[in-house]
Amino acid sequence: MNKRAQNKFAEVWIEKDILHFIYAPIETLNLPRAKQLLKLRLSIQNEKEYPILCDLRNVIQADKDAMDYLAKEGSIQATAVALLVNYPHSTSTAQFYLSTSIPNVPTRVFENRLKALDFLAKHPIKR
Amino acid sequence: MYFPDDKQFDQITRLITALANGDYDKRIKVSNLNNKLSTISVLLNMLAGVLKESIPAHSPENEFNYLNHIILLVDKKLQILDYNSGSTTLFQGDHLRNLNFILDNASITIVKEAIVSKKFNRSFNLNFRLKENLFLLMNTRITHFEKNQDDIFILSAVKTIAKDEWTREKLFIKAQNPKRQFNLSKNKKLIESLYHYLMDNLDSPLKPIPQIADELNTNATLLKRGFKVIHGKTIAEFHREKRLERARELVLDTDTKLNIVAQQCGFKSLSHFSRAFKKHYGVNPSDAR
Repeated sequence: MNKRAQNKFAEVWIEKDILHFIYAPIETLNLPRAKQLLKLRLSIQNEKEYPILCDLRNVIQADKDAMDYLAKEGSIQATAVALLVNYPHSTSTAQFYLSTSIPNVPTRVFENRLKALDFLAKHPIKR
Repeated sequence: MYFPDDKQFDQITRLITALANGDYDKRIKVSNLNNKLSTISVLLNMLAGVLKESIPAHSPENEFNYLNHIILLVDKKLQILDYNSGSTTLFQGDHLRNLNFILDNASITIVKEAIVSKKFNRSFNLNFRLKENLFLLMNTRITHFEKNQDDIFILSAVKTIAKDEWTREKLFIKAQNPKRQFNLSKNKKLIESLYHYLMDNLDSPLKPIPQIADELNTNATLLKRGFKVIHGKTIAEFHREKRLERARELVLDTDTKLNIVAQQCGFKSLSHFSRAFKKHYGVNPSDAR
């Protein structure tokens, strides 16, 4: 089972039962890209549900349909999502995303990686 | 007051204005994050996406759309050889020389790839730079003339324009023409007061326009002309339509007798009301219940 995958828009790997999802620099995250990225993530999960550390710091903006897709379909096989952001840009955009697209799994925004991991520890992997 | 980044500031104010006018398709191009205005631009883009999805066309003026067809004749070097009049309403005149002026870099790459690979039988989402320096994503088709030796292409796209936006554009064109000058900012309040006057008097037949003009301290010609420009219909048409809408609500949602409905909606008689109702909705008010 491959525990790491990568494409033009992101890199994803599993480490200590946490799924790390790091976006590459993206000007606009649109729906086709969001679909590709979900496929990429699922390709390494072996149908298990993981807590996800999602690093959004390289994303400039996302289309509404891409955000809705990630909040709904994009929540499959995830126990929780910690969005890792930078103040001010991705903090603001991530908060906007959470309030308008409303993900299906517990999702929170963090500027501190360790706090994000603490949050994910409360939503462990489901085998 | 001094704004160090005027271009970005202008884009933000234009997008806010577009949103306030119900135009949710336009976006600000943000390629890098230079300052907090970039973040505000992105949040406005995201807001436009949310509004586009969540706000239905409530007012009848917004329910009818017009199409603006954009046709650009371009050569292999992406120089624009010719364009239709629809293009001039969206793009800055001196930008209509080369596609590089009116498309973002990613879109230019898409067009170049389509030309090189000769993939002409499909549509592409291209991001166009509009007059006000905002961007609009449009589904665009690239067509190639089979028999032409010079490799000339047609880019065509269609933008839907809400009726109120269309009337504003018409108004703008009229304002540029001295013979038919109409000062919107000066007369907007007047037309608004006429609108409220009409809405407050739906329970009575329409008075002659000169009489209404007297009551509003203006002249009838200005009222007639301004109302048509802004609302896209004559005062009488608007008044009749609104009375019938109110009548329909009373007919469908209440047990009010039809002769009372006719009276409350400003019709002279029940038969007059029934005829107007049937003409507008296709059924008699008694059958509508």
